Amino acid sequence: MGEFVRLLIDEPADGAWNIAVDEAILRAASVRWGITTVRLYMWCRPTISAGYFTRLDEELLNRCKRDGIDVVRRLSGGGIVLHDDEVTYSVVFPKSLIGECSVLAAYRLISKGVVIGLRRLGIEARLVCDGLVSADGQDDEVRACKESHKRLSDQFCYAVRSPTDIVVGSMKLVGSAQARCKGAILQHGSVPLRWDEEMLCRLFGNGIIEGRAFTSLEELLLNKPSVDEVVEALCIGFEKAFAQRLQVGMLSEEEINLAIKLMERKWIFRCE
Amino acid sequence: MELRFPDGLLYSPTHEWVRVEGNFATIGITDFAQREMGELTYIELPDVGDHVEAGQPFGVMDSVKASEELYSPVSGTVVKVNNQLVDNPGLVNQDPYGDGWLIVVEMPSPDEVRGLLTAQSYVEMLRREGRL
Repeated sequence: MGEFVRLLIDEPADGAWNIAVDEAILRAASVRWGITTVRLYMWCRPTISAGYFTRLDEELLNRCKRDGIDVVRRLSGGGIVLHDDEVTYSVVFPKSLIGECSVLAAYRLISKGVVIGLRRLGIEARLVCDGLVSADGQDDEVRACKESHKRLSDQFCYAVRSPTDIVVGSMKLVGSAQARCKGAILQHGSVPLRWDEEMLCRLFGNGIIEGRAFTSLEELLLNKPSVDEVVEALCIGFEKAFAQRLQVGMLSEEEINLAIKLMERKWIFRCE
Repeated sequence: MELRFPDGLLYSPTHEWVRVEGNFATIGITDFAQREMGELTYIELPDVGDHVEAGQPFGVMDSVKASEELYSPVSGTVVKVNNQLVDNPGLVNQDPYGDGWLIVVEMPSPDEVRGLLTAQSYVEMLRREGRL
């Protein structure tokens, strides 16, 4: 790792820009050994992002159109995420940062920062695949999550359990996904401040909230923290996880130009 | 289980292997690459007739919550695609050098593979990078 980690804190933006910037940072980093970048950002209106292989059904797309919800496609794996009242983190780092850079090893590194940040907020969170007895991650909980993921990869991400979830007790709080290119890895994930249950039901049906096993910071803290509080906690978490100071930076010209090019490809449709 | 890197194949720094027969290159991902990804859930491959370029992406694979691009070790035209992987991407995990092959590319010349690594030099590269 370099001497510092670049920190980008972005104003709320539309979905295609948010996703294109993550990919641009990854692609720029993948062709040359770059520094690690932590980016924290928000969304200017509710947006659905679909994983690279997610199949979106017509009915969901029609509901999004009806409700003015943008839909974008991520480069990363995973399912359907509704980005609304949340802080999104993304971390891009060179594979050389860690010797073993398997999917789970990378999740452990990045999620450590998120977990430490959540603890600063007073939340005892944990990564599902952390602290397993077997090195290959084949314990019962992970196996059950993998089965669930296979069955429901085209579904709402928070309705699916994954070994890479950050949970509080048995409730899922943070869902994340990775994209990997040549020499670099991108991991991004959502830290929901509050769920809009009405919106969830309109999009995914009433069943989505019946006996739901996902939660938000507001539900856990009984008070919704401000975006600034969450951003500050995550910054501290990543600083500790990487044992490096975060230094506020900006996108390079190369990254901006690449993001502009990528942006148009990210829209499935936009509602304005 | 110990990773396997069969002699007689060539390897790329982006963890693909190549089996050369005349002007035809069968391409897959190495045992190391499949272990790094974990159990694969989807694979997207080019169509027969598509052109692939050495060092450029030709497909994408997906495991539990991670996608990774596949890079072609050679340039040429795709002449065969392993369609079994659509329904059973796990074949890549089970048998990366056999039933888990990805595509066959017809190269304009066998010189295309010049610069690829032998099994020994690929293993040395992994060790140098601290990944073995």
